[in-house]
Order: sequence, then C-alpha cells, then structure tokens
Amino acid sequence: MSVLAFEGVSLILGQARLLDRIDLRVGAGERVAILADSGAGKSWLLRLAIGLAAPASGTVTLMGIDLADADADTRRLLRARCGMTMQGGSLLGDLSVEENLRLALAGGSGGAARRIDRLLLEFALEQAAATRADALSIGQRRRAELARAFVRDPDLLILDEPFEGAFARSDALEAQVRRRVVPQGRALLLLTQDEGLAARLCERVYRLEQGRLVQQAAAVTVPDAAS
Amino acid sequence: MAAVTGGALKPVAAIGAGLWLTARAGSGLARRLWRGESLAQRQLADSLPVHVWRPLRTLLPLAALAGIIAGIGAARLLALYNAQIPVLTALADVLLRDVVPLLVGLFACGSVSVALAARLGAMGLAREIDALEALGRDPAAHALGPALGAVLLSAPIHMCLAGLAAIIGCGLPLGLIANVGWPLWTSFALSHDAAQAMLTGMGKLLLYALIAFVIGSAVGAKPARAPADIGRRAITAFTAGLLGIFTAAALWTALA
Repeated sequence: MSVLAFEGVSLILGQARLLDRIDLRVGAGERVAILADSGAGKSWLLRLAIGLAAPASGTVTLMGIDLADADADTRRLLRARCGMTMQGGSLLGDLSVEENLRLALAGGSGGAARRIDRLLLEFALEQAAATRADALSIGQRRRAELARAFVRDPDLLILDEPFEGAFARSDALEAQVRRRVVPQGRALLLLTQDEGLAARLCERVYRLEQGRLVQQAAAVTVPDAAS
Repeated sequence: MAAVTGGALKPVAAIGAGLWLTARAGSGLARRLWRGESLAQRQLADSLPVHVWRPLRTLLPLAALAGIIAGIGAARLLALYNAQIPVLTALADVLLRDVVPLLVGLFACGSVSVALAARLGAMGLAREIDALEALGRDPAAHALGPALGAVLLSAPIHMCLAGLAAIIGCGLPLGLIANVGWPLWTSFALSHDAAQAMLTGMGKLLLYALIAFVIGSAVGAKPARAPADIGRRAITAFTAGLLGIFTAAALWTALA
C-alpha cells in the first residue's frame, strides 16, 4: 500500500499552473526525492501531501485515505503519523526546543520524555533544550526541526530542504537522518534542490519541471543502513 | 447586485469565522487543561501578564482620570443645585455601569484585538500555524486558547480595579469643589446599588472583551503574505473592534 499517493494532481496559483497532473506513489519504506528549483512548487507538494492545501484537480491519498473526503480531525490524525520539516523552518518561536518536541507528542509519559532526551542528544541539542526556538541559530533550528520530525516515530517523513542553513553539520545531520530512516524502514519524501543529497538518500529521484514530474536515472547508491 | 450582497456578507462571514475560532480556542484550552497538559498551563501563565497585569499600568490611571472628569462635572452640578442624593447616586451608577466598562472595553479593543491580529499574522508568516496543523494540533487551541483564558480572567479583575480607581478619582474633585467628604461619597459609590451596577458593568466588559477577541482572531486568521500585512490587519482589527464594542454598548443601553 502507498503511504502517499498523488493522482493527476494539478495546482493553479493565480494565472499560473504550478503543478500539472502530477502522479506519484510513495510506498511503505520507500525513499523518494523530488528535485526542483526555487519557486517550482516543492513546498506546495508538501502542503498538498498533508492536506494543508487542496489541489485544483486530482486526488491526494495519505495512508490510504483520500484527503478530500477526510474531515479536519481525520486529517490531523493522519498528519500525526507523519514527520515533517518545512523550508525556512516552522518551529514555534515562543516555545523552547523541548516544548516544540513535546508538542509533537500526544502524551507526556516517561517514555515520551526519554525519547525527547534521546533525540536532543542525537541532534546535539541537549544544551539548547530549554532555549526558546526564536533565540536559536539557523543551524540549531534545523536540527531541532529534524528532531521534532522524528519524535513521533513517523511512518512517513516529508523533508523540505532539511539541511538548509546547517552547513557546518550537514554531513553529520545527513548521517543521522539516514540512520533514523533506512534501518527503520520509514518512507521518505525528500524535497530539495541538492541532487547529491537526493541521490545519496533516496531510491527514486524525480525532477519537477514546469509543473510535471520527470523521473531521473536511478540513484547512484542505496546508503548502507549502518553508516 | 451580487457584488453588493457579497460585500454585505463579508463582515457576517468574518464574525462567523471569529466566533468559530473563539469557540474552538475555548474548548481546546479546556481540553488541554483537563488533560493536565503542562504546556497549556505554562502558556496560560505566560498570557496572564500580557492580558491581565501589564494593562493595569495604563488602565488604572485612565480610569482615575475618567473618574476625575466625571467628578468635576458632578461637583459643578452640586454647586448649582445641591442635590446630593440624586447626583451622587446617578454618578456612581453611570460610572460603574457604563463609563468604566466602556473605557476598559476600548482598552481591550486596543490591546486584545490588535495583539491577536498581529500575533496570528506573524505566526502565519513564520509558518507556525502550518506547523501546528502539520503536528496534528488544532492551531486555535494552541495559538488562541491561552490568550482567551487570560482575557476572560482579566475582565472581572480589570473591572474591579478600574472601578475602584474611578471611584477614587471621582472623590477628589467632589471633595475639593463640592465639599463632599469621602465617607459620604463612598456610602454612594460602595452601596448595594453601586455593587449591582458594578456587576452589570462586569457583564458588559466580558461581552466587550469577547467582541475584541472575536474580531482580533477573525482578522488575524486571514493569511498574511508580507510583514506589512500584519500592520494593516492590526489597524483593521482596532477599527472593527471599536465599531463592534460601541454597537454592543449602544444596543445594551437601548435594550436594558
């Protein structure tokens, strides 16, 4: 079963057709990348995928449920099974890093606290746990957002330019993301401009050109799960 | 014709959206507090200084000044007619039933509706609303709920304290110009009838604060595309809030 499927999805913004009959399936455990230049509509794909925007035509199915038929509560439940990072960051500025992570969890049990502590450690955020998100550096924000994406043990990850601004640690972050995606068999939809990153992390790579998805040559290597 | 109908329906739709958001904010906050969510408690505690305590620094002097103005008018009247019982009774009543609630309501319009419209606009621009949706959380419960709790708590506190400030402000010119001593003035201002007027004023203030909240959330919920939009939204929220509060005050007075 596909965890995410776009069938004939089009999106029109103003007079421009940003997405034109997009077909895409991301199966359980599959890693798919979409390469696109700035302004080509990558972030709209994320919004469509989780039901934050409705397509002009076509259907978007998340976890097997057509988002057009799902009410607001159902859409929230479906989103709760996904982990996301948004381009430019989307942490809640008036909450601390730890609170941003806790917000992603439904309960505040001891297990949840341990999971948050572990993620803070893995993403080198333990010193910044109590710092308000709006006081973090750009790199710290990206790490916090990535940690938040993983905190719910998601079935599907949708990462929109996940390492943007985290230049100094991008290799370590990439390895960290790989460790949390590949061995766990999580599905990944990576939206990026970075061809190398797409090839290293994903099995299938598409390019978004003039609103259409064009499949690229198969990724060079499937990364070693243990690396 | 269709354009005219559409234009007339816009404010109705905005009020409907504001009411819906406010209801969701209230029920969402109640659920979060009921579950013992520590983040909700912390957010509510953070909202209290913003909506309850900090406005008092401006609100109390304003209420005292309004009391002084009303007291000067009443003192001049007393100097002419020496009708202490009707003048002082009417003064305490109008002060606590109409003047102070309207004053605090206008202040709420300036602080609550503007603050909410600006905050929601900024959250939208920073993709925080999207983030809450993406996390499977209701943005109304998280972004508006704590503010709603604080605003509702602020109404009785502001009414009591602003009422006292107005009574004290009023007593000064009454004593200086009309020779009305504090024991006499407080026997009118703190009487059973004045307490009833204060309760009515509290009810009005609660309504005004809710109007400010509904308008602030309705205006702020419109998507902002640029930082300049936030300023424009704040002005819209303020002017619409003024109109809403004065309309409610006029209707209440006419129908009471």
